[in-house]
This record gives sequence, structure tokens and C-alpha cells, in this order.
Amino acid sequence: MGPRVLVVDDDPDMRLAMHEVLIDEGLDVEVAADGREALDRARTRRPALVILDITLPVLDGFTVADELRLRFGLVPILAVTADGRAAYKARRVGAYAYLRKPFELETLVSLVKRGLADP
Amino acid sequence: MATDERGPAGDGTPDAARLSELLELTQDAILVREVATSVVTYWNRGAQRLYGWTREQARGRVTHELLATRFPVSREAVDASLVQDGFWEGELIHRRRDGSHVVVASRQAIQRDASGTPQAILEINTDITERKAAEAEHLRLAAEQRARQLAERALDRLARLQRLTGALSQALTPAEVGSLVIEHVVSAFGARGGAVRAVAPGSNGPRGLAARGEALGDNGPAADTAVVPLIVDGRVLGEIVLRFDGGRTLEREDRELLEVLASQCAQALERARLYELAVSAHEDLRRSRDQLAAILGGVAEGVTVQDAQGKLVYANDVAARLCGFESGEALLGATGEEVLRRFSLFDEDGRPLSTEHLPGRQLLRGLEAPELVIQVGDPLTGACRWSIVNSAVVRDAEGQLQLVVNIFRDITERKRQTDVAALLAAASRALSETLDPLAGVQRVADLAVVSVADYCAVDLLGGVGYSAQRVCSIRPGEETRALADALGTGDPVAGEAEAAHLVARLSAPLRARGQTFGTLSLGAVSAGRRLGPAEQTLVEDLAARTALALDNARLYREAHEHAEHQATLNAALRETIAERDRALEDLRQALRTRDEFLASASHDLKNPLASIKATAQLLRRRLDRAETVDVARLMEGLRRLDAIATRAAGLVEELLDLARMQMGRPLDLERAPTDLVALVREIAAEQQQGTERHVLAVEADEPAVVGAWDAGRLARVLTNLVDNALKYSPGGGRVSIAVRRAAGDSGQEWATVDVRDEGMGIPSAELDRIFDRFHRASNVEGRISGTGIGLASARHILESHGGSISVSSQEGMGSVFTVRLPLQAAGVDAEGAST
Repeated sequence: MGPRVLVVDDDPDMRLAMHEVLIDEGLDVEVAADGREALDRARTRRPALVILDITLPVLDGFTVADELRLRFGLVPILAVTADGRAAYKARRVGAYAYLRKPFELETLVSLVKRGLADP
Repeated sequence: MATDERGPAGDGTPDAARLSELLELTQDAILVREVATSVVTYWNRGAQRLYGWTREQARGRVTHELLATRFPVSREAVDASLVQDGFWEGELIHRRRDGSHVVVASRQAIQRDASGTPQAILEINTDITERKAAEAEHLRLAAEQRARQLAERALDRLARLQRLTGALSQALTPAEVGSLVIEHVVSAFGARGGAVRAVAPGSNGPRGLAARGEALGDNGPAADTAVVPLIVDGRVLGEIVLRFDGGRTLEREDRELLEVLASQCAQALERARLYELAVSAHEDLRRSRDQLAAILGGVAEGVTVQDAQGKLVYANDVAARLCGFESGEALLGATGEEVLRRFSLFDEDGRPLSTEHLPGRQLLRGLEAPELVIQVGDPLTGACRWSIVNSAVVRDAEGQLQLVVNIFRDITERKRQTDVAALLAAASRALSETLDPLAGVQRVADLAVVSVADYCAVDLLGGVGYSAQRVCSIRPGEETRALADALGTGDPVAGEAEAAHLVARLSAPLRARGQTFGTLSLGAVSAGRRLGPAEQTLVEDLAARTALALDNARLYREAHEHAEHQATLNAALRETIAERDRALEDLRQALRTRDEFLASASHDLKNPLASIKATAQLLRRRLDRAETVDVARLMEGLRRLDAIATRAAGLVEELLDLARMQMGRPLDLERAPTDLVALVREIAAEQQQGTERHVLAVEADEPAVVGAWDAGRLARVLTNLVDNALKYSPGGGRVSIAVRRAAGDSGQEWATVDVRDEGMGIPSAELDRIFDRFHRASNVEGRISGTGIGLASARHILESHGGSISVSSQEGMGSVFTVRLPLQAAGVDAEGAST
């Protein structure tokens, strides 16, 4: 099993697509539907990388990012967002890269690989 | 008509069009009217602004009728001036459409065609209402100040006169009189110096009685010198000479006062001369009685002489006539009782007076005896004469009282003049003190009948700020009763009543600044009251002051009304501005929320698109990699694509509904038999999948509640409510959804759905507004994502069904949203619903 990747997205279809494509790449993938669930999953086992949708119910992406860093130090975050000002939001969560929805799965895969290779 | 569209330039050429455009831009009201009819043919935007009538309303109307023009003289005069000079300039008063008045500076010119025939009249009117109001206010203040000055001066003159008169009554020798007078006048008139000189009988020139300040040369009158003769009964006794600095001369009023003072001085001198005569004659009184009589018989004053016992030993004819006798001899020959029967004596205030109080009697008893003012009434005619009595004692060498000399000076005329001056002063004060001009006028009439007339009437013409009316006053008493009764019967007979009862009547017009307000009249009912040339002056003076006060009050009122009108306009303007600001703020808020909504909506739409794209790519990757196609996985992927597309289509539907709602359009409902219980269960099951922290429970009394509803839209409403319940109870907990059937009024059956959560609730102050578009409660704003349109949309959908949505909530305890739907919707046949 490869490095552990946590996918946080409130859209079930998006979650499923990302989950399956990353599994196909041989990674250990976990999913969460909202901010709180993401923190619960991360607590259980520290992820090597987090794919984080910024607009989330219950706790938003900014809070989740702050909590993750507080608990685990530097975790590479790949930000995902559907609305404008993606670059700004990505900088705010301290992401190493960001994806604007809709995006190419190929791009997702290559950004994840880069994030895991160069922590 | 084509001609009506032309500008004032007339011929419709490009130049004329440009001119026309220019005329539209000017602030002034510009209009063109026909020469013969005054019908408006052109009316610019300035005219529309000034008068409130639009071009369409004004055209074809007669100018002076439309604007109710008030001309300075007459309309004919303006037209005549236009025809003669081709031009007229002046001020007009116009009425606006709203009924208010405006003062304009109007310039009018005749336009002629090539042959010189008058074509039209061009009017350029500039609004000068504000300027006129300011001018009127200025005039009013100036006039008020002038009236006050007049009143103060009149009172000042009276006070000076009284002071000097009092002092003079004590003076017994010409030298005393001279020094009193000169001291008084030099200081009163600010002279450098002055002298009183008397003409001695038989000498060539006057001799100095008293002088003060710079000695006066004998060079005669110079430019800086005022000389006033001292005259009694046509005889020149001397003169007062005053010298001023730097060629200053006396003003008219000062000169008048000086003349009155000179007359007082002359009388005092005459009296002093009489005393001297009486004293010098004393020694040989018995011997030369005839000589004394010859001297005293010719003077204007009444002179009587009493001996030490009070017996009358001499009286001249003037004194005798005062007591009702023909001659001094007749008076001396009459008994005491007879004398007292001939006349009645009153004090200054009209109270009966005993002869014991006369100064001569007082002196005989060794008391002080100042000058006394008395009224002597003729018991037969009732006419009263006013006199001043001065008495002096003549003593012998041992100081024994020998004689008392009494001098009676008739002051009836002087008293009358003083009364007139006092009346004018009081009238000025009454007019300037009251804010109500008519009350001031009434007060003037009352004052006039107290001192100078039996009857005073002020008749106002009407039309110059006052309505036509009569203000009058009648002296109370027996004499005037008949007149009062006649006038009491009403105005129409006023003229007849006056004619029948008045023996004399004087009138003067009430005129001020070119305006005539009416007339002021004084009347007398008996011959005893004289109305002569002096009263004519008084009437004119009273009328002038009254008219000035009326005009001031009118100007003041107009200025005040104008100011009030302005204030109202300003208030309305402020209100309009505030309204516009509020509307602008509302608009800004709407734009802000719309922007937020658009951002949120694009996010919502991008999500399913992203899912479709990702799912499709995933399937392709798998097909690329796998040697054999896994049909089951492919089918699963396609099913998901289909579901997401359906969800996206629903979202688009929802946005379209919102757009309709924003435009106020009704929804095009797709009604079909729908089971609410099944729908709720489906939604609950679906939502339960997305959460582990919440427990969703469905309660239903009946297995099915079916109505003719738009299932898709209801699903959206209910999903939204359940979604909210989950979203706003982030700590988890129970969310219950209860479906019931309820009977309402008049047999109408309802289906209700309660969605109850145990979440954060809604602040009570905001419950009323949560169904408003874009409104989000303050306790979730910025913390929980949302567009603020879900509940507004829900209400729209439910109301389109004939149903409703309501909420009850307690902050921190949770909320209950209640949906009500009619089971038989109006306009939907029962058959369709029960299928």
C-alpha cells in the first residue's frame, strides 16, 4: 500500500471519482464529506497528503487546514475549489498547489505525485 | 398644428432650431403669445419649471388668464406701451399651477414681420420672488425704525415742553424768564451760544435779557444763527437767538419745537410784564385805577386782583368773560353766589374744583401756590375752555400782604395741540407694538375719540392684502348715542348714519408707497367740538401712519409666507433626498446580495459539472488501462453520470425558478398525484446517507397523503428544509419529519409537514425576515455557507400551490418549520388528484 491520501469533498460523486482514480494509482485513500469528519479521519491516522475542498459544510477548508497543521505540522495540502479567487484561497490554506473545478483527473494525479515526492 | 412646433424664431431653419434649443436651456421662463389674443404659442422649459404648466397645457391658453397676471397698472397700459415702444419692462405677479404666487421681472417685446406688422409678443420672465421678499423685509424694518424714531421724538418733544412750561410758571421777572429759556434751548439744541432779547417799548432795538455761551455780536442774522421771534397776540416782544457751530442749521422738527418754546417764552414774558405792572401800580392803585384798567384791559390774559381779605377789587374784561360776565364792571358788581352760578370749575382731569383751590386763595392763606391748570365750563353751552392760573402776592414795604394778582391764560388751543401730539405719538406706538395691524388700527380709532373727535372710522377698500371692512370707534356718552345706534344697524347705512348725525367730518386717504388702502375719517356730533384746519392735518398725519403700518404688516406677512413656503419646499426636498438615499441603499444591498447569490450559484453549478467530468475521465482511464471491459463497472459509472446530470438539471430548474421569483412571475407548476409520505421517506433516506451524526426520523399518521402537487419542486422544498435542519445542527442530534392530514375551515383539508431539529435556532428578532430573499440569520452569516435563497424559494413554491410555510424557533434550542399544502387545490379537479 502506498502513502496515505485524505480526500475531503462534500460532493459524493466527486469524492468517489477522486477516490477511485487515486486507488488506481496505488495510493492508500480515505474520504471525508465535511470538515469535522476530515479531522476525525486524520486523527485516526496521519495522512501524507490532503486533497481539500475549501467550501465545506460544518467546518470550512480554512479551519480544517489550520487544525491539521496544528496537530500534524507540515502536511502538504492540494486545495480544490469551485468558486473564484482560487489562488487567493489556496494561499490562505497554505496549499502547495490548487485545482479549480472542473479539472482533469490527469492533473490531479500528477499534482498529488509531486506533493508526495517533494514534501 | 405644424406652426405650434416652431420655436420663437419662427421659420424652422437650422439657425432657428439652434436658437430654440438655447431658449430651452435658459433658466428664465420664455413664452410667446399672439398679439391680438394673448394666446400662448411657445412655452420653454424654464416656463414649465417656473409655472408648473407643461408646454402642452399652456399652449392655446390666454397668458394672463393662465397665470392670473397682476399688472402694476393695467394690462391695457402694458399693451399700449408695447404697441408704442415695441418693448415693455416691469414687474408682474403670476400664479403658479400649484396656486402659489411668484414675482417676475418681465421683459416683453413685439416681433414684427418684414412688412412691420406685429406678429407676436416675446416675454422673458425672471423669477425675482426671493429678491422682492428680501426687499420688502428691508423696507419693513426701515419703516418700523422710522416710526419708532417718530414716536420717540414726539414723546421727547412733549417731555421738553412740559419741563420748560413747569419752570416758566415759577418765573416772575423777564430776566428770570430769559435765563430759564436760554439755558434750556442752548443745551436742548446743542447750540454754541444764544440769547433772549426783549424789545423795550419805545426803544429802537432789543435789549438782552439773558445770554449764554459765546457772546453774540450785533451783526444781525448770519448763516450759523437761528432767530425766532417772541410773539404774543400779534405783538413782538423780543427774540431768541441761537448760534451754531460750522453753519449747522435746524431741522424742520427742531425748528417747530423751537417755535413752540418761543411761544411759551413770549407768554411767560408777557405774564412777568403784567406782574411788574400790577406791582408798580400798587402804590397809587386808588388814584390811578383807570390807568391800570387802561393797561390791563388791552391784554389777552384774564387779570384779577384780590385784596388781603380775598375780595375781588379788579377784573379785566377777559377775566370777566371767562366767568360768564360781559365786562369787568359787571363781574365786580355781582354777588359771590351769582358769580358761582355763572360757570363751573374743573381740574385738569375734569373733576369739579372748588374756588378755594385756586392759587390766589391758597396764597391768601399763606400756602404755596404753584401754577394750576383748570377747565372753566359754560353751564349753558357745556363748552369748556382750558386755562392756566398763575397768582402772585404784592406786599408793602413792611412785607404785609397787600394784594393777590391772578393771571388766567387761555390754553385751550395749546392744550389741543399737545393732545394732538400725544395722540400721534400714542398712535405710532400702538401701530408699531401690535403684530395684528387691524388691532393697531382699532387702537388708533379708540385713541382718536378720546382726545380729538367724537367718531373715528377706518374704511379699508380690500384687495391690497386686506379684505374690505370698517374699523370704527365712537366716544361713549349721551351725545353720540344716536350715532352709535344708527351705525349699529349695519354697514350699508353707515354713510347715511354719518350724514344724519355728524355735524362735521374730515377724511384722508390711507396711502403708503403708492398703495391706497382706504380712508380714515374723524367726525363730530356737536358744534362744541371743532374740526378745523388743525384737525385736517391731524387726520392726514394719522392716515399716513396707519397706512404705513398696514403696508408694513402686509409686506411682513408676505415675506413671512414666502419664507414658510420656502421652508415647506425645503422640507419636501429633504424628504425626497432622504427617500432617494434609502432607495439607493436598498438598491446597493440588492446588488450586493445578488452578487453573492451569483457567486454561490456558480459554485453550486460547477460542482455537478466537475463530478460529471471526473466520472467520465475515470471511466475512460479504466477503459484505456483494462484489456477487458468490466461491463458492470461501466454500467455503474454511466448510471452515476446520469444521476449527476439529473441533479444538475434540477439545480438549473431551481435557478430558473429563482429568476422567475425575482421577476415576480408565477411558477408553471407540474401538478400530478403525489404521495407526501413516500416523498418525505425518500428524502429522509437520501439525507441520512450523508450524515452519521444525525438521526432522521419520519412520523406519519397515515400510510399515504396524496395531493395534486408538483413533486419535483416539493422534493426541493423538503430537501432544503431537511438539509437546513442538518446544516444548522452541526453538533448532530435528532431531526424529525412529521406528515399529517389536518381539517381546516369550510371543509378544506390540509396536508402538513413539520421538520423539527435540535440545532442552534434562529434569533427571534429575525424570524419575520428569514423567508425574505437573500436574508440570512445573523448567527450563521459568515460561519455556514448558504445562498439565502432556499427559504424564499420554498415559500414561493408553497404559495404557488395555495399553501404556506411558517417557522417557530428558540435560539439554542432548535427550530420547527411547518409546511401546509391544500389537499384539493383550487383549480385542480378532484379526479386528477385521486388518480
